[in-house]
Amino acid sequence: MRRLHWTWAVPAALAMAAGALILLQSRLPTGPRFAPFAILRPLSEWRGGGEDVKRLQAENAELLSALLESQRKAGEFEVLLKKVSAYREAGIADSPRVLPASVILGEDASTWHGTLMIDRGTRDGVRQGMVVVEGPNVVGRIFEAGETISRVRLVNDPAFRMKAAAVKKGAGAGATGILAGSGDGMCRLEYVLDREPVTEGWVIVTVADPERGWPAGLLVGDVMKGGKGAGVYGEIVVRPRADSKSLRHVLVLLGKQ
Amino acid sequence: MNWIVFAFLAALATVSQLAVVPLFAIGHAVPDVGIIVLAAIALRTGRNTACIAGWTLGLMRDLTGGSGPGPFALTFLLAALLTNLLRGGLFPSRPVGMGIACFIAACSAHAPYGVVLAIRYGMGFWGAVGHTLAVALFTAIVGALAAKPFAKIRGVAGWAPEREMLA
Repeated sequence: MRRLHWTWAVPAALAMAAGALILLQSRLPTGPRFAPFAILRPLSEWRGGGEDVKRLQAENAELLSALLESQRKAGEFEVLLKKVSAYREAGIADSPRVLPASVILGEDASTWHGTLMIDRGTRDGVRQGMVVVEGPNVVGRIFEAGETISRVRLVNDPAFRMKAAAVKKGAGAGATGILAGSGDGMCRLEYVLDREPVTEGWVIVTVADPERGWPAGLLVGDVMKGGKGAGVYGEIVVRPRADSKSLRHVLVLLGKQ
Repeated sequence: MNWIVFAFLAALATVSQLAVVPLFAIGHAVPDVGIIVLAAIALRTGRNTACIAGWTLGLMRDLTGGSGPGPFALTFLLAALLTNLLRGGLFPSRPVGMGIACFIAACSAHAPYGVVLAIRYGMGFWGAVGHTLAVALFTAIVGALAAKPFAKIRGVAGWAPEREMLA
């Protein structure tokens, strides 16, 4: 009997260690875990090119900031025009500052998730939950921020969730729902009633969330299929705009100015 | 087992999983190199060694993926245990034996995680099953091709010969 106990001692101890890691996941510091990836930083800088790329990144950041500012103004005018107080609260977020970042690891080893690592961390002001974009397209959100390296959860990751709206091109009104990753490279817009006429050709944009600092109007993807799903909600399949495979440089929306 | 050789194989598997394997993806299915290393070890070593190797490979997968630390350490441990039970029934130096072992190991490592994702995030049960089978099939094919190279490093790696395992 004692021999039987000892033969299973190692597997049992390892299983308990794995269980403890799962339970303590959110409390484990990211620093030691991200430390090995620091060796990839020079590689990403080398791949990113020289001064020209850095200048273009800075210009891109300024242009995006200007775009968000103009979207904010458009939102203000819309609010004034429609006199809708609720929209005013949601739509008038100050334009966020943006931080250029390079992708140092574009692949996720798990085969299930869609994540990438960028060369910016808490030292640069990056925090968990911040939106990461490429131009006007949403790439994902920061879900782990180390001191100099952060991991971004892509919009197609099964664990990704974000408030978003389906908007018909040329029309202002839309249907709001929760954008969720499907794990197969696509997303779906959930909790949209099936009576909403969302069909192919509509675009998915972010909805302002002042508490989290998310701006409105950033493009997320295009509706590929819209139809009746199970229950009262429709089934809306979305193709993300940002191509995660070809990403080299991204912008992190740091928050309000 | 020679743990220096294991450390080298684990590092090689992790780097190739991140840098090389995505180049050969069919859809979203890619072969799991960590599982191939795990199967090669679990079929040639004792239970405890196989479990430690599987747990370590799983933890390395956790640290380089979006799952967070823990889940793959647990499922790879399960895969190592199951594959180790097949020791003596499958010949790891033969492509068929290695292929079957890789398929079973990949299924037992990925299916539980896929089911958890399907339940927790609603990604679709059959989607998770399909992805698991695609990864397992891909891993089995690559594992079968890797049977001979692994047989050649058996001596250096300190793995038991097949005759000894059957005894």
